[in-house]
Amino acid sequence: MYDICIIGSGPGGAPIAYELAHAGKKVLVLEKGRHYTEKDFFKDELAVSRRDIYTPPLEEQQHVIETQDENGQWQSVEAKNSNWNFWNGSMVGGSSNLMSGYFHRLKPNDFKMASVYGKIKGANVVDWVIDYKTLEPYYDKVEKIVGVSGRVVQHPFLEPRSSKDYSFRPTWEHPIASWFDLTCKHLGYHSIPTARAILPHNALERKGCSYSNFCGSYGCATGAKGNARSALLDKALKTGNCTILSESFVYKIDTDDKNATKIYYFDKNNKPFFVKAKIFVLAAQPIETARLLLNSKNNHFPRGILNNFNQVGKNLIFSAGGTGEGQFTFTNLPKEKRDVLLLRGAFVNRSLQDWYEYTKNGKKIKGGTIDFLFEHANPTSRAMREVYDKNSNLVWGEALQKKIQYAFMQSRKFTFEVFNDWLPTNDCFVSVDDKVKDKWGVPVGKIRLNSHPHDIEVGEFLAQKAVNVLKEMGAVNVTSSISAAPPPNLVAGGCRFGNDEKSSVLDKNCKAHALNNLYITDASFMPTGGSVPYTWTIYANSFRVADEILKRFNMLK
Amino acid sequence: MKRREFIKYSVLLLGSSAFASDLKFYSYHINIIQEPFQSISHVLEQLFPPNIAMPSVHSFNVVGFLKALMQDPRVKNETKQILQDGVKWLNQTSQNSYMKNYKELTLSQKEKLLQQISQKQWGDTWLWYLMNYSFEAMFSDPVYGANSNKIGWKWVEYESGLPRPPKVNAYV
Repeated sequence: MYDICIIGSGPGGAPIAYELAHAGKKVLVLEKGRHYTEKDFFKDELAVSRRDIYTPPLEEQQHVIETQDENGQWQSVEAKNSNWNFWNGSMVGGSSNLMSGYFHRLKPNDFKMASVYGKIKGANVVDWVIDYKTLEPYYDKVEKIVGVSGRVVQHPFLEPRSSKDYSFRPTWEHPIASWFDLTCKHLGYHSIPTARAILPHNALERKGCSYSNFCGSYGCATGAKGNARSALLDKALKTGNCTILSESFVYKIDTDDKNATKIYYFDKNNKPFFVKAKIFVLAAQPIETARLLLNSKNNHFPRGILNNFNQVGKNLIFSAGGTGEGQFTFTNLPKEKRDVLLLRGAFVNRSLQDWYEYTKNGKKIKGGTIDFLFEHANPTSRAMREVYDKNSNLVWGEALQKKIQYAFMQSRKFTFEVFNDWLPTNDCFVSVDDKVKDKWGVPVGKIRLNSHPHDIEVGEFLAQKAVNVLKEMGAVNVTSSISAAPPPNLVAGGCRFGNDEKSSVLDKNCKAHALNNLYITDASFMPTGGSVPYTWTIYANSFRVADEILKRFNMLK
Repeated sequence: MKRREFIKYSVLLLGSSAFASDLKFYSYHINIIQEPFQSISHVLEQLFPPNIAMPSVHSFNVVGFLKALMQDPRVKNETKQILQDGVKWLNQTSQNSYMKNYKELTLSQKEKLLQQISQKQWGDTWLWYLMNYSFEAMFSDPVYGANSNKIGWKWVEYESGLPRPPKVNAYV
């Protein structure tokens, strides 16, 4: 019997494996995807970004998506018959292999959304059951163990830190960052060097960044990116106490009335197995975590494990916001500035958080974060952005050729991404669809999608600020797009933590209220998401829970 | 999902009825061509005419890439069907307007016909797909058999990331 069995190997599961394996516990990690390593990653747009080789084919594994039509009726569609795809990185280390690594901590007020910003009609906003102070040492731990590079500067929403500065200096910064800084200074904004989960040089038994100009969406060929595999699991394996079973899909958890007893999985040859362990940790990402619990019904949990109060899958959240862009035209610029813009590989690494909180009609409003970056280098998608004219008519021939040459050779796009809270509502949740099954015959997850109108208001407010910055920098064709479309790679909630078992699934240590030995450590626990990407918080919380689990083992000694 | 893609996706969901209503205009049966890639080849010449700045579209081996795409398990069958159906409807429209298949038209007739179909839902969708996969051919790593000698990358002064995929690791 294993001491601990972890389902899912991303940033929710890997810190538990790392800490427990180093503490001498026998750890098993089950991961549905393949075990790629640095040598398997190439800058191959066709495979990575066009054919999605790191996610399952939708014909074999998919979701059902429910959205509301204009008459208010809920309509469902199978992902394979649509353009929805809620898979991220299906591989050892999870989607952290493919992240851009923009790392932001939550702010102290993110932990008390309800009490600081007040209730919002139609939104299930609650305070967290832990505060920033509890999580801060673990944010700090992630900086040092996973490797976060950056530079601390004072700004109105700088969160309290136990380390004065980052352990790793910033990655190579693109000279446009200094234009950005000057513009922000002129506008009275506080330009923030964005911390990145990327090593600027060899450290932590990993190689530094090669500045290949392809980071987000791509696996890292050097190991500089702080993905869960390179940063944690590889080291857990070296202890000799950790086993990773890849291509192993967990489809059921069994329990008695007090404890999880075993989990069942199919191996890569679709052969069924089961595993027993003293403690189980579920970290399959929020949609699949909820699906597994709901599919695991028994006499003690007839509605699915942990679901006696109908809380599993509820209050699913994403990151609200959107994107925008502006174009720097070379013909309008002196040669030295043109040369600067042509420089590839270096990171922009800039964000604004001046409006993480703002006031409207005398009321304090929760705002968010704006990250700035260059347009992704993928050439096919860049070319496809040029195929329509301003009147939404297709263009071709010489007109299209000129547009493409202008986009690639006579200009460069500077873009931004807005992150604000996706308010939890009653109509955004995960269930299972008993009629639609995956290749193993297991009912697939059904995702009902709904966003609160407040999310769009805040997103548009922030986008306008970013638009102003781009225009002030001299960009042309500046546009923004804030939408209610959920980004599938920024998902949280579904198994909230809280003090009341009737309104939450987990206790404050992310242990199930209803079972003594089952923990959930992916982003499912988050009752609200904050206005930043989640990965740093998932890592930090998982390290925190690892300490709690270790305390339990020590008490048993 | 990008807004434009979302709109296109909605069109595809409604695809069968939208296409059908367009097709009701065609009053007589024509022979469906057996080789859709011949017509595609002519359309590509119109979409990407050779000039000083851009090499001939045929030097990218777009047609070869599209043929391979039809065997690609990661490309949806619906997509493959749209690419092929579009050729049928293109030629039906061509027959309606000029009593000839598309490849037999003059350059100005070809251009006029593309303008005409691009105003139809099916035509806009089909051309969008054709451009999408043509650009994949032009800009994919040469290991996939198109973009030979990196001519697509050279055309737009694009620098690929490293490491590039070796043949043995190439997808499919």
